[in-house]
Amino acid sequence: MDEKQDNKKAHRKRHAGPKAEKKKAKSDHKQDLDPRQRNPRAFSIQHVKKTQKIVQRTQDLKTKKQHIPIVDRTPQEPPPVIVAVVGPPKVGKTTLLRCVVKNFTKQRLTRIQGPVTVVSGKQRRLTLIECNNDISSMIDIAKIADLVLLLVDASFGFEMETFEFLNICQVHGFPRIMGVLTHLDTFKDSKRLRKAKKRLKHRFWTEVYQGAKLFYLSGMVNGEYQKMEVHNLCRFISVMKFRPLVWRTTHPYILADRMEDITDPEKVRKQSKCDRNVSIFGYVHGTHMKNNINVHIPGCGDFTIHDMNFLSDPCPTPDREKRRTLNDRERTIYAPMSGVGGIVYDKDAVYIDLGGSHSHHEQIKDEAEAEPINELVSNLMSISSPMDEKITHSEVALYSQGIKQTVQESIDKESEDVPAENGRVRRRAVFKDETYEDDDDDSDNDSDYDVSSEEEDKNIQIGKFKQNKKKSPKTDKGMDGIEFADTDDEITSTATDRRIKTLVKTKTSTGNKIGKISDDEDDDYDDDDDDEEEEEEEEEEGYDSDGVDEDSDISSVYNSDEEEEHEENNMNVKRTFAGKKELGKSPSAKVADDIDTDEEVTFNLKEKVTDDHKTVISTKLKKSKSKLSDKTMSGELNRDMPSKQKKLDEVVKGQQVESDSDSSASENDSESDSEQDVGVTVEENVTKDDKTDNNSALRQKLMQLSQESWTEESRRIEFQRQDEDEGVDELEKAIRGDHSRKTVEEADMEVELDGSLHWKHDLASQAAANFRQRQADRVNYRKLIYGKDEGDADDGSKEQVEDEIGGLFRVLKQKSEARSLDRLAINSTDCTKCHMHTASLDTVEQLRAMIVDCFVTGKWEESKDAESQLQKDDEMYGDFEDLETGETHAAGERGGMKGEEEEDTDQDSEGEDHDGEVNNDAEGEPKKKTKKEMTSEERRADKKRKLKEMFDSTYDMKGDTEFYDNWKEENEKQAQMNRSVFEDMEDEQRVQYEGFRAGMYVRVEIHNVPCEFVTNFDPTFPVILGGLLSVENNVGYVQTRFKKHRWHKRILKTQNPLIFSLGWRRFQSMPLYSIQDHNMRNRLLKYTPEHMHCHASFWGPITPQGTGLLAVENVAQVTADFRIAGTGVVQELDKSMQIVKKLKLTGTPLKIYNKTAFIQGMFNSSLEVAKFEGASVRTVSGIRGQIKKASKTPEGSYRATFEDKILLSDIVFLRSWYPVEVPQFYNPVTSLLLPGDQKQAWTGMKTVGQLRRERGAKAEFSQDSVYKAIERKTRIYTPLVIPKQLQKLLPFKDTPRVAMEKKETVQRVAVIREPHEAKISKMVRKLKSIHEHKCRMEHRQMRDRVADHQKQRAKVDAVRTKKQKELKKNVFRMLGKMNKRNSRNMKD
Amino acid sequence: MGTKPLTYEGCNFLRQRLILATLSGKALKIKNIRSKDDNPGLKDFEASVIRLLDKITNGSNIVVNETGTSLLYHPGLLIGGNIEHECNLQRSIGYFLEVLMCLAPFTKKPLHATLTGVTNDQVDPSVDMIKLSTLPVLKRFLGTDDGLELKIVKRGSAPEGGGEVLFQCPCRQKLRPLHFTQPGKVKRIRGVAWVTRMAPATANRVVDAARSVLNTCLPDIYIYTDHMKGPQSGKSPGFGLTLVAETTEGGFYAAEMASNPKGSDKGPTVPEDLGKQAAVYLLEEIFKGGCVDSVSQGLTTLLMVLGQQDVSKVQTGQLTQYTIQYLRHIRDFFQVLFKVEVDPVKEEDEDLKKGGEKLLLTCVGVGYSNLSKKVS
Repeated sequence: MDEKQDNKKAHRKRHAGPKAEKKKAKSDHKQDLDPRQRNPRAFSIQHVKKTQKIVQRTQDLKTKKQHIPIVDRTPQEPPPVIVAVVGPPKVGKTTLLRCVVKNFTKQRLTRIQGPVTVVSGKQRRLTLIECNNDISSMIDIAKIADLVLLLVDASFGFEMETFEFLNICQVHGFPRIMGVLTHLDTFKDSKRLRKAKKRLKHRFWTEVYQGAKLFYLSGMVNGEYQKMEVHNLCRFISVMKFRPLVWRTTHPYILADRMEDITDPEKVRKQSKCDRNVSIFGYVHGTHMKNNINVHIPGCGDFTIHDMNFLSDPCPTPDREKRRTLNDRERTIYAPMSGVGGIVYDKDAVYIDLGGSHSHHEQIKDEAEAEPINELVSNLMSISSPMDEKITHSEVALYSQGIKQTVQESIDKESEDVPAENGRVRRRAVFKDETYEDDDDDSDNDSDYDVSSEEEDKNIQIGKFKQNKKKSPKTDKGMDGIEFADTDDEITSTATDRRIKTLVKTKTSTGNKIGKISDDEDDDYDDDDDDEEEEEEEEEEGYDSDGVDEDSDISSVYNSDEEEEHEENNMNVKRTFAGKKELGKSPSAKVADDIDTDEEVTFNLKEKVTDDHKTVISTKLKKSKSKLSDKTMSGELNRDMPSKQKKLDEVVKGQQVESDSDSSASENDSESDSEQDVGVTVEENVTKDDKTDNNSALRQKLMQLSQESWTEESRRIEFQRQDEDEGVDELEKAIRGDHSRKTVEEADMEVELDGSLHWKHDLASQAAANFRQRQADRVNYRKLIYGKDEGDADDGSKEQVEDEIGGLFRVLKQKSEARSLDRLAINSTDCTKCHMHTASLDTVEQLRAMIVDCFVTGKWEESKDAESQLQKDDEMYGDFEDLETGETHAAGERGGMKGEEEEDTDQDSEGEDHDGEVNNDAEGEPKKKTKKEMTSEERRADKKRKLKEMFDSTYDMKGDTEFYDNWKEENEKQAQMNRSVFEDMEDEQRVQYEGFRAGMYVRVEIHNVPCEFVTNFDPTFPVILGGLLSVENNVGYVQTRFKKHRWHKRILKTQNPLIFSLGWRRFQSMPLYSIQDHNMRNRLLKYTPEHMHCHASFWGPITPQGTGLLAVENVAQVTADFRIAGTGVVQELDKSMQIVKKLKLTGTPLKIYNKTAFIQGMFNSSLEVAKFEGASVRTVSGIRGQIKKASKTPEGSYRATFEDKILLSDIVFLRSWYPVEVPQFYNPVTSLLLPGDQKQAWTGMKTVGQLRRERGAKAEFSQDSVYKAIERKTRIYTPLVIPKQLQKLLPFKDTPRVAMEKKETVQRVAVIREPHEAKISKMVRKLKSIHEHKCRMEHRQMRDRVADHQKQRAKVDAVRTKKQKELKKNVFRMLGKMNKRNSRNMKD
Repeated sequence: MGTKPLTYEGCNFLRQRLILATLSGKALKIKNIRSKDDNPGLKDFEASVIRLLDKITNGSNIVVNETGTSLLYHPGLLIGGNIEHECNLQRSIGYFLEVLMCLAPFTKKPLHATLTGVTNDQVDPSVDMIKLSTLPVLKRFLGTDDGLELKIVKRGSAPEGGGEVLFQCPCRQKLRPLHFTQPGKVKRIRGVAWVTRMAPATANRVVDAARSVLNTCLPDIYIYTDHMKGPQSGKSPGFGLTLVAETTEGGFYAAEMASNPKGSDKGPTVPEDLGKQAAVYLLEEIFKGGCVDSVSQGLTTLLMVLGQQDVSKVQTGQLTQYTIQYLRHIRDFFQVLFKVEVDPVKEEDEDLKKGGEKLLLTCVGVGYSNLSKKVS
């Protein structure tokens, strides 16, 4: 086959001849035309309107995609993304949070409180926080969360909380929201599950946006969600992108992840309710946060930042390494409130976290319940110094019954609470459009669920009790072989334990807790610290339960950070001296303090307590102390301060003998700052020996040190060391070490301790950094501008010494010359113009010479000079060869050849277009020389680029997007600049210029915080420091566009208090609702319109326009209804507000003249009338008039004119507008200050209605407004009398009928006719009667005729109808027959 | 909410303090105002400024003690709108105008102010100077100049006054950040030689004298003569010269000189001297250089701070004492520090003779927005 085919002759194409030509013609290549070119008419615009619509639409779509460009202000290292887990209770928030944390950190957290910061990736950290079911918390969280995980119990459906939260989010900028459906395992039926999922998804989409991400957590495995599901969720979290929200990009804020009370303990001891100083830690978010600005803590109030500094990031992003995943080391977690976070350094101390720092509050209760026996001793231990108080306390302790009772009560109470807690009625969100097919099922589930949860809770509680009981022996075991009979022992043991810890670690504290405890021990005798011991115990417990071996931990920590610790230790020594509140951070000082307190306890006991107690305690103390000393001696750190240790040891021993308590006390004194601690540590009878002298000397020196620059400092210290005695010397050494190692930052902090020397700390810290720069610059402008004036202020504070003569007159002391000059300066002329001219006519020539190049005629900069630019061009393009002439031009000759060159390039391009050969030549030739090749190619590329640019600018970039693109580009440039300007600066300096940028971990010190903030601190409620811009801490009238929420059941009444959430703040205020009339008048509304916007004006904090606000009627109550009362947006801020309400003044006519009337009863005085002269009035009947002038009597009456005469019975109205004042009521919601269980139940001002309801009072009303049956007298009208004159003029038809009747009554006059007339009339009458008769007759005949005729007709008709009837009958019979026949036929 | 007021001593820089307090909303207390003087307390012109401030704000509360030696100021919100103010004759209108220029961009309604008083004197920058040098700076921050106007309706020189000025300024929600670091080169010099209640020839004499100095530097010089007649010429005789040099990049340097007021102990001023002296002052101003001249430095720094949270950068000449104090006050009120550094000169440009040392002022704005203006 194949061969056969192969043998066939191949087809040969024709190359000539007609066929070939035909083919050629066919294949002759024409230019490809697209349909548009081939048939242009088909593509022309045929429908103008349609085309316009299409174009419009495309443009709309295009513009819709564009956002208003904003400057990107995100820092290089962004702050952690705040991820909030939100949902109603019992949906699995905590479980999810725990799972997420575990997924990121591979750690399982038992108890999560407050924010948890974890590293989620190379670029990103997350701060996870749980939001509890409290509308205040939800509001706060919505303001700070970047991403919200909205948990929904799928078995129940959406609850009201979910929708409330979504609405809160909408108002405060919409963060990213991801829905998570839980409890999906409760669905047994897969079809129903699918349906439920779909229903919930669609509802979620309508609330958030179409296609919003919704996750399904199908079920629990061992109390946790399935690993893969959580992992997927976390992956979504860690790649989520965020859009900047306006409020957050303009305001800095901090979500506190740690809070410390740094009040002077002495102050607290003296007055337990005194305002506290606190330091708050957290990452800065939003924008730059400046030092000393005002911040608002939602739920607490406004505060000024006293001090602020940045710390090293506790949770740094792992940068540099080019790996895909993080290793375990980099998966850091930081959550001090939940007790995780490892070692933390800050200004106050260094903390090693071991247990939950703020967990003690809850545990205290448990502890008390579990071991009520300890009450007595623990009370004794914590007794405060005043004797009488102590007596009362001991009594309380001895009367154990009472206490037991209270404990019992508390237990009872809790058991009562439980059902209330669990029996929380779930607030199902029901919407008309939704149908719940499985309603009954749900309710079944619900009830089951509730019961089970109730049971669970009880179990948990019982478990807790058990645990507590279990733990206590455990702790006992922890102490080496020492068996303690009661808690007293435990306490001491823990104390010793801690002391040991502190010694070994040198850094003392187990988180802030231990720091605190050291304080606590200081003021053991404080009343309010009754349960300190319990706290300690608890901590111990937590510590144990964490399952960390104490000693190993300590040693490991020690080993790893030996050096640092040493340094830190030294620092701490110094700090204690420098007068900070954190006492006893150094081992030595700490030990001393501890001892001191112990001593106190023994002291007190000796005085008060019964003998056996005393002995017990003292023996315990003895034991513990001996142990302590042993341990410390053996401890590794002993080599640091052996002598000290020994000394202290001696002191401890001596103390028991009670012989030289003086010396120990003085020792203590010397170690802790005398200013604060004398009262605490030392009894009054302590004699001051030389050690205290040393102390004071040292302090002085320290003052000096801090005032000098640090370079000098170290030298000085060295010098001084030689001539000081031993004890001081040692400490000084420490200081010196401290100094030498100190970073600039630390120096900063330290100097600041002195308070008044703020400016100098700048100088000191930056001295080194600026040194070189200072050398280079002749003037240090920073110092010139910012350093000097503070110094002046300093001087100012020092002056003012005045003498008194005779107690009456004061002689001002003569000031020094400098001072008086200064005085002149502060009162000299305020003028912008600088009058210190140096130049004069003589020096004008020199001056001119110096500024020659400032004019366009002068020399230009290299970069701008035209000539130099040209030269640069030459250097770049180098030599070239004239192709035509063949001569080569060197770069130098360029200047003269410029014109030719241009010609040349022109020709070149022409050649390219037309002549291939020339082109080849041009390309071929440069190949010989590499340089030339480069240049020519470059030249071409350049030319191409230029052409393209030109084309772009004429066609592509023209029009629509040009403006937008330019704007974007401008913003990008600005963002670039923002980042780069301070980039190469050290953080300490940079912070001063731009503030603490977002992403920094900072410590913020705030003074004078209400003590409830500290005492009632609950980490589960978010503490936010919202930075305020300068004007925002003022109050004024805020006018907002407001709308009642469509889901809120009732309309809102004017002046009823509402709780607003605006900016960072939550506050109560009394809004007035108004609406704007057409003439811009703001008319008061008594109630908000049902479905319309209105204005709401209230007295509140000044917040930028365009900020969203939210109103809630009540935060305390949880009702089944939707709680958000309304939403709005700030429109205008002012210090005065014009809202008016309608006022109708009424009066009655006093006297009426024609159109003038005197009106009375409208005003009280003629002055009032004078104000309303010219005002228009109206009567009820609608007669309009005008006020003319006040009349003398009666007072307040006036003359008015009307368009018609009014009646005396008319009421005269005056319509006027009365300005309404907005009540100046601004009451910040202080929910954070309330004790734990009341935090969610803040109540502010109540509405009148609420008060009435509570008290059962009825509304007062005036009797006048009561509706009564109306009794109306029948009015008798006087008959209408038309004057005769008028009647005369009336047309006849309008004359009154009465008049006509009257006429008839008039008697007729007899008429006597003439005979002739009588004859005629008789004749006429006869004729008339004849005619009448004739007519009558005719009429009668006619009627008879008609009757006859009708009779005849009737007869005829009857006959006719009869006939017709018969005919019809016949016809129908016939028809019937026919039909019958037909039907029969059909049948056949 | 009740934060402690910022406390200062003495009446110097009173305007700065009042302006900053108004803009930042912080309360201000000034003590010891001329307390040691024979004539203690606030002077009339200072009281006049306070009154002016009261006119353009709403809800501000000013308490001056009996002797006038201490002042407590709780600022309100800026209103603007139409105001008329009779400026005290002790200081010229420029003194008051500088206050208005700082506040005008942040009012509720666009400011339309009519100020009467002394338009030109020897102490304060005259209205001409403000118009020629400070107004362009304001324009840069506002973005456009529609609605920005300073019109000299009547001129009135030193002792008696009688001048009238109309100042209009639009209000803005936000200001633009300023980037102005290349001053360019002086391309032209313009000026106004004004005469009131004197022979118009005086102006020509002044112009000739000034030109004689300036012509050697630049050919493009034009000095207008402004001879007001009749009621427009105020109440007292006087003459003066305001010169302005414009750079290629739109920077302006202004200098001026006014004759001694009538009845002063210095005697009459010679027009030729005045012209020459003013020209020398202009050269001195050019020597100082920068992108804004010394009179506008304060306003520039203030408006830089009141911008968005973006970096602003400006080049200036040597800072005046007034500006330095402004920077200090800005730190007190807004916690903003300026980075002040010497503008480094490029190596290749070192031999250029461009006058004195130039400074670069850099700052980050506080994110200030106009809280008075209504948005809908």
